[in-house]
Amino acid sequence: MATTIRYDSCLTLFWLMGSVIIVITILALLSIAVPELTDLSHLVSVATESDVIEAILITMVAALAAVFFLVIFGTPLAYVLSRSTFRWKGIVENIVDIPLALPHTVAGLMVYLLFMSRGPIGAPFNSIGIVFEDAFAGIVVAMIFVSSPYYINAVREGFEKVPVHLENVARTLGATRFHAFRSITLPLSTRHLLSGSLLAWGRAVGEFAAVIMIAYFPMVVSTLIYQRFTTGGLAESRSVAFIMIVICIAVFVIFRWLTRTVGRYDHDRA
Amino acid sequence: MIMIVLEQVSLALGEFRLHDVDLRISKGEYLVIMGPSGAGKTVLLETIAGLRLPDSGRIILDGIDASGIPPEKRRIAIVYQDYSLFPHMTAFENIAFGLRLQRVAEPETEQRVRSLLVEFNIAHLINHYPSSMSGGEQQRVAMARALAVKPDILLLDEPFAALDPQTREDCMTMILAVKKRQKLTILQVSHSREEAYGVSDRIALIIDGSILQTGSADDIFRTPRSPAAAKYAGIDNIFRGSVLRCDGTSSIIDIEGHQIILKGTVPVGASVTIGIAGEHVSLAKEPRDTVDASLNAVSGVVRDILPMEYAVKIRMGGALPLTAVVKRNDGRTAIPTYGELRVALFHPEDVHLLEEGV
Repeated sequence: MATTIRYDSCLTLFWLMGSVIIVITILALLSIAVPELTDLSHLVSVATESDVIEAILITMVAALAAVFFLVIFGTPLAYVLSRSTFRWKGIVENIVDIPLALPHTVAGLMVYLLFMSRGPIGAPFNSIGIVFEDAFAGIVVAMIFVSSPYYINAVREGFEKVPVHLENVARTLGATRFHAFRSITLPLSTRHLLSGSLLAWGRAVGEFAAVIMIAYFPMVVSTLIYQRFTTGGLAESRSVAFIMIVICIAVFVIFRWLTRTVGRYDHDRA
Repeated sequence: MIMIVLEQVSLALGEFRLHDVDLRISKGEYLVIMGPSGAGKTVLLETIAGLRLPDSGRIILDGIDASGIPPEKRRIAIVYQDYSLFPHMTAFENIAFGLRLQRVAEPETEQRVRSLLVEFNIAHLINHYPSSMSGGEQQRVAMARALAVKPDILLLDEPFAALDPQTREDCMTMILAVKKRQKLTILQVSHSREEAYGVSDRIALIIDGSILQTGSADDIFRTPRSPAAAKYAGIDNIFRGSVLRCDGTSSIIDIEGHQIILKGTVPVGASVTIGIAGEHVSLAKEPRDTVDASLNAVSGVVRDILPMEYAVKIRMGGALPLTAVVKRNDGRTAIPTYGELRVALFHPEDVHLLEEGV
């Protein structure tokens, strides 16, 4: 019998190096969690403040609205990018990625200039009564802008993984292109759609800079934490932060658990 | 009655291109499209199906110009080499897919799917997902799915390539039975001579996006009409030479100083390419004993010996390096050994003119 190799020096080294990141993340979480959990009465009092509850709800709902918008408008774009070749495709792909490369304050400024009440998009909407400046709609728009590449790229990757042959077969069996998309490509990309949505939602929830440029009020959680940090001090902002951490982790864990079997076809379920 | 007409169909697709493809396929014909990898065979099928649009030329299906007809209205079904079953659907749902699109009533759909499952011997797979099926099973489901919509034309893109020999034979028998019963027109891309001989009414040989030759399996493999076709058919001996003399029934061609007799007339002075199948070359022992003077004879030394399943391929050296395919243990010819001097003999009728230029 050959000698069992108990450890691999290369993998061990990689583990040691990689654990730096894990350790920092855990320490960061603990630095908020430990003081909060040792002063539960303060935590509870902050958690039940109407300002805090309102900010959390606004953040969650605005992020959901942003994801909803992306599903409706980003999905077709992702499909077109995955299935067609055209002359300016490279340029379009770069345009999709622009929000990834920009500082978020710049993104916020762009959103503000476009959607402010005198802006090229803001003005016509303003005339029909839809306001973006310091309004819920402004938060959503800023969130859409910064989270769109996460959604579009994830979904596009999902579409690319569905073999064109499957669509071709569906077409010859009598399906229009749209029907082939709906009945074959879309169900087979469900997992990418879900993970793209979750990524975009997480990005939207976390957005601060782009949001405050167009809508300081109503406050999203990031704005509230910043405002408390600059006015009330560390303890005030830390409690809000801890509540946010708990909610975000819960959402990710629950979402992943609920969708663990959705869109998987690599095993027989008969 | 002509089912499919391709008129000067051209299509450029990155590296690929179809070049002025002309093809007429009769109703109920089984045409096998052969050619080396990357010759454009799959592109040709997809163009006929309407999944790709030709840059120029016309496709006429059952007398109607197909240019404005989308794939879903062409009554053409396709089966790919990878079967392309919908992985999120059971065998039943896969086969019912097209019927449901045609709004066939559900009881009739069910009845039709079930009878196809029985016919293809896969009734036990009805609720199985593709991931749990073997290649042969997936192939049958794919075939049943294609036939469920009762297409006029069936396109098969190397459907048997990945199957074991027994399953392949079963599938070929099955498809021939279906074709006979339904008067289907079938186009099949294949790499296999066995399939070509087994199922085809006719073969189209496509190389570099052009159709080089159409004809029976024997035409394609025994009498190729161009150097490229000869190469594809596996003709071992392809040589260029020039015509020295012509006496009205046969011609003498000079190849590297050897005078080779060819049955047929070619203008004197023309440069030609000829092909001789290795099977038609025999190797006699030197010195020549009783050799027919009307045969071509080229002597040389045995250079390479390559054993094959039923024969041995022997490559000779010399100015005209001929290759002979000698049957193993046929009792008459002893297998030559390396370095042995032999005379390669072949009939003037077995010298095929592949190309003629000036």
